[in-house]
Amino acid sequence: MSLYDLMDWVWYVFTTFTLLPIGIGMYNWKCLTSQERWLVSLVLGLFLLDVIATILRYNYIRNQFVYQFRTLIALAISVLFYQPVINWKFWPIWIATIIALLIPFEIVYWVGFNHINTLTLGVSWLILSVYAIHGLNLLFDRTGQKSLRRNPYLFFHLGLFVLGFFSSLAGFWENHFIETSLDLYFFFDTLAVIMRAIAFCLLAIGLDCCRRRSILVL
Amino acid sequence: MPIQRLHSQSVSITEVHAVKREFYVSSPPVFDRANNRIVLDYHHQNAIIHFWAPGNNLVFEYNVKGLFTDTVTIRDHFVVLPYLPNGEFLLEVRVANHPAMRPARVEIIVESPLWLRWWFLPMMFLYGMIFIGVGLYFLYRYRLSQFMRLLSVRENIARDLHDDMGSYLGSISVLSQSVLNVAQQDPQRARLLVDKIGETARLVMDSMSDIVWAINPENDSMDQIIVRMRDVANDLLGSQDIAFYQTIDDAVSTVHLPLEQRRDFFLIYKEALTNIAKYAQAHQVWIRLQRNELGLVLNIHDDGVGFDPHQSAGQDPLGGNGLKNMRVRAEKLGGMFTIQSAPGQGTRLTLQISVT
Repeated sequence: MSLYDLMDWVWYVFTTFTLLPIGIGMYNWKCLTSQERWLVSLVLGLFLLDVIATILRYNYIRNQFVYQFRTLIALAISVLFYQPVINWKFWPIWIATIIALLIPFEIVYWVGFNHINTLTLGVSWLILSVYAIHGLNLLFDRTGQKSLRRNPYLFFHLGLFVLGFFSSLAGFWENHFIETSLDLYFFFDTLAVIMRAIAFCLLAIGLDCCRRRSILVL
Repeated sequence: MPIQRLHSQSVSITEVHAVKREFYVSSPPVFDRANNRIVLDYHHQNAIIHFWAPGNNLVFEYNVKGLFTDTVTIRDHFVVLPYLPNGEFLLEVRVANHPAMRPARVEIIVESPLWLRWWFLPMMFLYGMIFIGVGLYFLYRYRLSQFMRLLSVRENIARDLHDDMGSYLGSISVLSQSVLNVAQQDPQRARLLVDKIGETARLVMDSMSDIVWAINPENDSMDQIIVRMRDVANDLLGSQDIAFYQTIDDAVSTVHLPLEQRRDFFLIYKEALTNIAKYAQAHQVWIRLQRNELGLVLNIHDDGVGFDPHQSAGQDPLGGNGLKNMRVRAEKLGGMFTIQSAPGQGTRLTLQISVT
């Protein structure tokens, strides 16, 4: 077994952590708000994309288009989950629309059909992490007497911050490293998948809090 | 060949290739000055450089400054430079058997890969620092909010002790003094005052019990609130022979009310039952607690004498402060509080608070 095979297995193991928030979200589906249900659905979408990418890879079929859908899911999380939370009116929708329109432009005119749309991918995840930081700030400003440890949004924001921050880090270089340095590609991909596993654990804790408690909206 | 003629002629670079890819074709292919430059990408870091010089049976010698230490002598008209490392080099080709002939020079720049450029590691470091910085900032905010929360709880307990306990104990103190004053002259009045002291002491115990119950973390779950609600209904309504029917939906047990909210919610409930027990003259009371899409909804309905909820506070049959306190507590909860009542038609109280 080579080092690359080992890193492949690390990737598989940590990718299965995505199933945690999906499973807990499904179990608590009735207790979830529409935003939380969107979050669970979009995490499921991310997992399915990983599965599709792996199947294509084993069949020696290029799977770079998966990254375009991954970008759209990051944008969807920023709109469907964060737009009602962060009180920035319609700005999240406008920003997501602009980035979504830039995806075909990047693919056609810049990187080419057979390459990863690294710029829009990285920016989408980065914007998600910015929203998460803003959401955390709002949460700390609003809480007052509430128990933060029982507030699912603490875990949602933390999870999405970690997810967005490390996915953007890997996303920005993915196209470059996959063509020039396989070692660095594997390093960043493995780092991202480990941090994503932590993020999904945080989301799972948040979704579990939804069942055990409900926080009053004041 | 005259020396002067040789001086005027020189070696010239004619073509540069790199693994079947043409990087640079001189046009015209004359390199008689040492100001030429070839820039190679990191992943195409090899070059085949062709050169030419006038004359026959020429022996060339070349050197790559920055890469080779010695000069290489060849008879070919090209040089292959495979696997060039990153950096800047100077290729110099001269004719060995005509030293007076001017050499050809070309600067070769092999670009560094992205991760070896000077800004990459500092940028990664900065990225990491941003992550750690954001993490530390939110850790600080978290600790601060926990501290503020603790402070707020302490303030609330202090306020409750001062407002409730303080006033009750003050009353007991004044009443006991009055008993001493009138005990000899008016035993009947003294007995009334002692009764009043006993009643106030019971209120103190009751209020203290509420405060202790509210701050006890074991009562965080909604199940404990429901148990307490049943106990209070038994105590207040059972003692008055009022039949009560309590319906609590299963979904309610999934709700968690934080300390302050739990206390306000419970005191609204208790105040409502106290009013029924004291003033409503009801025979039956229906209590329903449910969780639906609107949030947590408490509904208390009795078949008592009712009252006019629109009359001014001064004429409030519930003692003046009861309704007002319930409304204030409902506002603190961010909920909706409504009372529907009319003389002779019972009273229906609804409290609706949003939960997520």
